[in-house]
Amino acid sequence: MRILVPIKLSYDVNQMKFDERTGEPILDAVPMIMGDMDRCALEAALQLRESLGGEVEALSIGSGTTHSKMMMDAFAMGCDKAYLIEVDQPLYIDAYTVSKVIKRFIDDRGPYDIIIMGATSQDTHSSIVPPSLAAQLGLNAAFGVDKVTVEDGSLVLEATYEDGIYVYRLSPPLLFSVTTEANTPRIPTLRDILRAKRMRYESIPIDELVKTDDIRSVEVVMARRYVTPRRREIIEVASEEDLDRAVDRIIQLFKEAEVI
Amino acid sequence: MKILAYIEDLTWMDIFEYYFRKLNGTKYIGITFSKEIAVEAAKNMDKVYLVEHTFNPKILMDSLKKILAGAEFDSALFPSTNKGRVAAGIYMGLTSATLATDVLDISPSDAYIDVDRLVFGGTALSTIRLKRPIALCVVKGDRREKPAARFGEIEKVSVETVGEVSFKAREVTGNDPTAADLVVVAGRGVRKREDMVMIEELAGLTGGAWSVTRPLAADYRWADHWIGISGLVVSPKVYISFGVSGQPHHLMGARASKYIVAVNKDPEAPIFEEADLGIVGDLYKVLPRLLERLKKG
Repeated sequence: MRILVPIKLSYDVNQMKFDERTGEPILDAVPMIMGDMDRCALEAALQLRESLGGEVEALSIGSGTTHSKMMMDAFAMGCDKAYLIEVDQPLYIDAYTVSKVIKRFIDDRGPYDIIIMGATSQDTHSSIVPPSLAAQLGLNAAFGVDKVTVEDGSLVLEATYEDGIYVYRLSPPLLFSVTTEANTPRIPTLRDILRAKRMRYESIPIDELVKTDDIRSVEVVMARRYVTPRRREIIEVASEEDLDRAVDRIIQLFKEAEVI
Repeated sequence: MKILAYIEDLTWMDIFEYYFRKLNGTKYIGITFSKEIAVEAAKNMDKVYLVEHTFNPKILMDSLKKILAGAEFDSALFPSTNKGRVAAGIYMGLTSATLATDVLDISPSDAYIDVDRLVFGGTALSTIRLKRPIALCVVKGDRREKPAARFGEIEKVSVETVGEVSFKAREVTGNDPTAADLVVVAGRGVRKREDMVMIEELAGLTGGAWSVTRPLAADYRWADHWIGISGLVVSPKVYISFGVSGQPHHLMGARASKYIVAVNKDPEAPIFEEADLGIVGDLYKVLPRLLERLKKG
């Protein structure tokens, strides 16, 4: 069983910083991490390797030391092989190009039996690369999977959407994406980390996979903090009187909005 | 301008109509998985493709491939929901159209289309410039138009079935946060499952609905739904939360509310930044007092 896990180095949106004056994001000050869902994708792959046998391979697009560290992290978790498709500004490449680059990589190095991805990246939160890749490969697929089980060589994949729970029973080759509900990613031990230090990932220049002219970028005209017009009235409750005042204001607002 | 729209449910019709007109649409084509939806949607569209099947990505892929073999679209519209994103991603993979998600509004010109969208987990607003053909996953907001009468035909699309799929609908118990005027939300500040009784009582007294944040639903299983970008996106008149800190992914599901009221002990909780009324205090004091007052009338 060959399992591929494409992962992304993304901004940690819980630590976003904005310029006080202009409201523009200060991206240099925001730490970059492997997204939680990507970590769960790796964990799902490692668990499938334990039950079905085979190898787990990680793939990412980018360059630089933070990226190398993420690849080492994937090795420490237990990946057998890793690849980094080298490009300078990975976050400005559009989602279609990202899925196409991964598709070309699979054409080149595949076939893979199972491809697992995080349902969505921490920063753009679009969730569109996994379905785009599946469509280009023409694979059976399930997205936003919260539960993975193996039954008689098939995978039973459960996904919760707005209207209910969908359960897919699919056989390889297939692609699926997972949420953070799917599992709890393992934390590498010191021994794992030391072992990972001896492992090397393979670098592949992006132009080996797609022509430079075919790399589409996202043209950002403007970006700033998203502020919704809100009243921002704050009542601090330190005494019984404050408590009554707070409750009064809530009820007043309920009336104003005509909900009571 | 031929425009394709993925109709997940009929609540999206007036939102898509806004974008259809803004994109100077002339032919309006739909695709849906439900016969009931197809019948209703066809009244306001020029044609509706019906894929009669439980939602299944591979079947959607094969159906779209079939449709695209006989028609080309200038733009495509999808809802920014879980299934909408899947459908949009598949469309992008098949057509190589440029796709933006979490779209709030657009300003088209001849050469390009400027798209306002949310990024970085909803903390930032960004305008990006896209060239046609495009696909948009739009957000439910106040950009709406009354759908025009078009009375199109319904065309069934049949493809070979693969794999097995079963579906269990979310139980509608009368508690529907997406339809209520007031939504009460519990966060991690609520310590025990038994305390949810107070949250439910407030919803009951106000004729509203209740929900929770993702950890309470996914980790503790106190509910089978949650508010947030990965769960339900609500737009009530009043959203009131107890013990919710306001992580970006949660707020994306709450932001369309007319008023936001937050009760939290922590004065630094990010939710206060986005609240109309913020109560810095213990929910275990504020909530019982509020219930008491509402019961008195």
